[in-house]
Amino acid sequence: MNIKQLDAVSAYSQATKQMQDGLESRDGKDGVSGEGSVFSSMVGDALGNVQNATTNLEVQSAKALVGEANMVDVVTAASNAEMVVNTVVSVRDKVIAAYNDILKMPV
Amino acid sequence: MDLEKAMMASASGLRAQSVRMRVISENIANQNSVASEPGADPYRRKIVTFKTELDRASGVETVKADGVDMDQKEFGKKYDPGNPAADASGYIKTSNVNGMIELMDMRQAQRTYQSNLNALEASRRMATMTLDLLR
Repeated sequence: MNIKQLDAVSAYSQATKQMQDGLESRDGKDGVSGEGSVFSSMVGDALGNVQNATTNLEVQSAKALVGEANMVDVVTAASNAEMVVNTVVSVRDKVIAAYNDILKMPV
Repeated sequence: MDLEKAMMASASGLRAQSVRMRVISENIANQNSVASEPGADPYRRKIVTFKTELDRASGVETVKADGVDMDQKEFGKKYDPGNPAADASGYIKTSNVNGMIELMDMRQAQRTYQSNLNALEASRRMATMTLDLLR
């Protein structure tokens, strides 16, 4: 139950901050490697959250099928999984949109 | 995240009220259960008590159906000399369940369940609305 949905969002804001820092100190340092690691850890965290939530949902629905689970548990697991997946998908879309904007930027 | 914790608390309320509903149904179903022999007791009404429980992992104060207690109220008496459980003067003991009380308890459980469900729905909607800002 302790899936931190806003983890992904905070990781995203961290990523953008890192990106900004990287752009500002571009001439001196290499900001690309740090940026990449934050991004990959963000993706990793988010996928881990999704996996946790969906595994919990699967366990609960399997229990419900054999008549062992409480209906409340199934419903909360389902709504939790839905929220986490929605969060991750919207953050992913946002990040990809940002990258696309940067790619399309006329140099 | 606080909204998630709110949902946890609401879910615990739903669970507690389902336990209560189960006990009320047992009481109503056994309203007319009497003993099968003289001197034995008929069905005794059950009561659920609720307790606050701190979920240590998240710090949420959830509610829990603590236990099922017996109602110590006296049994009723009914004149029924033909009954196998009747005593020497022809009376049988009847259960101490009062249909009206059970009905009101049931209504209360129903309303509380509904409030918890509404709170759950509201927290969920708030979280979804916040998420929609990203889109």
